[in-house]
Formats: sequence, C-alpha cells, structure tokens
Amino acid sequence: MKVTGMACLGSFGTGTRDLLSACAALPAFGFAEGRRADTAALSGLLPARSLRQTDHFTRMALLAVLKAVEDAQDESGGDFSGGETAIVLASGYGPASPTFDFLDSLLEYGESMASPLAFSRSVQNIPAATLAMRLGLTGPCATVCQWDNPVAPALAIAEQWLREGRARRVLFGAVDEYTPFLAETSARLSARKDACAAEDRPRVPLGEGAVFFCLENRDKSRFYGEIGGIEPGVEPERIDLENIASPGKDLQRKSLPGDARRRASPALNAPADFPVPLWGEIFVSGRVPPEWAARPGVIRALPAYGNIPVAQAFDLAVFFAQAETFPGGETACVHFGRDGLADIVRAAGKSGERAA
Amino acid sequence: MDIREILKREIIKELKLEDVSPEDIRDDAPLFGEGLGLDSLDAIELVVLVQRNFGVALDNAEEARQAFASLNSLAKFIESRLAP
Repeated sequence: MKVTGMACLGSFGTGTRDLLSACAALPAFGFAEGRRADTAALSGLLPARSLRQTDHFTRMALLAVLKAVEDAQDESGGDFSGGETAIVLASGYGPASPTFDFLDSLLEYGESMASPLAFSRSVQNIPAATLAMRLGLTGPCATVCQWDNPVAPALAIAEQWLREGRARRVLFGAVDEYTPFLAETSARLSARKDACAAEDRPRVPLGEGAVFFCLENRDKSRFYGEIGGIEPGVEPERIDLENIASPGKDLQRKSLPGDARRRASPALNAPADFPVPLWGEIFVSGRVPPEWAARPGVIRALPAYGNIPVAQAFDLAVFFAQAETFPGGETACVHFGRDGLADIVRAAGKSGERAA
Repeated sequence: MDIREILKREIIKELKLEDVSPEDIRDDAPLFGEGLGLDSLDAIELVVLVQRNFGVALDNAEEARQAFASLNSLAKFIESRLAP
C-alpha cells in the first residue's frame, strides 16, 4: 500500500515537524501529561456551528483526515468523495469522553433518561461515520476498537479492501484521546508492581492524538513510501531478529554518516544527533521484552508522542515523516501485546525496495 | 425561575450551543431548521431534557411536533401538563 498523504496531531503538537521535534528530545518525554491536542485549526476549515455535536476525539480525527487528504491532493488532485474511498479507523479506547458522559448520565438519571446525544457519540464507529459524511464518502467504513494494539488488524483490513478492489484508496486513521479518568486509572496501574513492566518505568505520560494516512495501490508520482508485510500475532521467538525489516534478504544496515545527518537536520527542524531509524532499525511499542529493549537499532519513540494504544501508527508516522528526506530506508514497527504475541507492520521509504 | 429561562439554560448546556447565550434565543423563533438550527438528534435529547427537568413526558409524536415548534410552544406545553 502506497502512502500518498499523511497528517498527524497530538499531545506533542500539530504536524509531522512537531512529531519529529518531540522525537528529537528522546529519551526525554515530548510533553507534559494532560496536554491536549489542539484542534482549533478546524474552525478555519468548517463552520463552527457544524462542529457543535463533534466531540474532541472526532475533532482530532477530522482535522487529521482533512489535512491528510489535502496532503494527498497536493499534486495529483483527485476526487476523494463518492464510493471509491474507504475509511478504516483504529482506536484503543474509542471516543472515551462521550462514553464516560453517557455512563455518567446513565448513573445520574437512570436508563430511561440517559443522554441520547452522549450515547450516539459513544458508539465506536460514529467518528469514522462522521468523517465519511463530512467528506461525502460512500465507500466502506469500519472501526477496529481494541485496547491492545488495534493498528495492525485495522491495516490488514485496509490492505484487504484495496486488494479486493472495494476501494481505490483507504483513509486509514488511528486515534485515541486523553481523559482524566484514564490518567487516574493508568497511574493506579503503574503503582502496582505486578502490573507494570520494567520498561514502563519511569511511566510515560498518557498521550492523545490522531494520525491519518491515505493508502493506495496504484502508481502515483508522489508518495512517502509503502506499508506491507502485516503480520498480527507472531510469537516473538519466531521473529527473525536480523532481517525483520526485510524478511528473506540480508539487509545491510546502513548508517547515515554524521555529516549527512547534520546536513539533513535543518529540513527536519531537529537536532543533528536525532536517531534516524530508517536503515533496518526497528520501532517497538507495547510490552517490550527486555531482550528487545536492549538491542541496538531498536527505537522506542513512545515518550515522544505519549502512552497511547495506537502507538504503532505514530511509529509509522515518524518513519514516513523522515522517509521523504531519507528515501530508501526500511523499517518494521513491532508491537508486543499483553498476550505475549507481536504485531508486525513493515514499511519502506520511497525508492526503497518494498519491505514485503 | 420561569420555565422559559430554565429551558434556555438547559438547551444551551445539554445541546452544546457554545456560541449561544440565553438572550440569543427568541421565544417565538423555530427551534429546528432555521432559528436555533437543531436537528433530529437534538429532538431526542430535548425529549429527555424536558422529562428530566419537569417530569413531563413527550410520548406522542404529533404532540411533540407541536410542542417543539418554538420555545414558547414548548413552555406552554409544559405549563399545561404541570397545571393541577
């Protein structure tokens, strides 16, 4: 799947430059806990009154998808409305605030007088449906909502829809929002020794944000790179550690000379020593086994964008944000689940060989 | 407090009319379509809002359609149901 457009926002800021700047501060945290994504730019894109019933989760998704579509249309244009464009959304918690609002109204007023509006906003596929209505899309629309990494299975759906010809392009998004309730729950869990893996200390602040990719199979002159080789539920001992980014071939892990990094860095607005995870280095998220965390070439970017169930999608965004400047790289984003299995998503920058 | 004032305050709060103040809501202006610009989802919330705040049920569609014409008609409907 070619990535022809991309946009993101979150606790770290707005856009890929802010994301890379947050990465540049690694291993320090990229933001303070509780910092919300700024969606004020939406008011310049849509009438304020039309956003009245749009909750924060959906606003983040809406801003990201509008910017991703704009990014994909830069040179080639193309009609994104109608039945040829699909939406697949991945989320760990779904629209959490409306869900808690609905539960509050249920507890306060009882079943017969719980808030219908809060209920409608709490339905997991409503944000994706809202995006589809805003963009005038009539193609397939689905949400994968599971706490332990929804990204890989959602990407597998996008890949299948493109392969089957159900859509010419898929707007693939990953969104999660911060709520004080989740923050409190997270803090309590972290305080319990038995529930907190060693790699989670010090605790990474909860993050929030949205990232959207425009995915297409057809050839286009402008694209960031490709996503492929999606393997959900792999036993870690079956992963070929040396060739994970490019299975089946002996990848020469290339290191970018220091001078080249310094020359390229101004374009990224990032310090010269920012690690460039493009030449076989691997992104990891989730419950990372200690032997993986200690491996050279393994990047854990979570502190840059925050503790968030859709971390794997932000790892892909970090990769593709640099892939434009450093074409030809390859990576794998590996999420280790609570069940001990790993979800692998491979990616290659433009001009590089396909990862899978 | 007057029923109209309670309705205005609750409508703004529950229907998230963040850019509207109670003074902006005219008693005789349509609640749906033009006027406040509410929609069908708001109508369902409004039914619940009236029941929560005044204990008055709107369980008849035709009755609800007439009551929801404006703030005035809604207030009159509630008053009629609350009358001894």
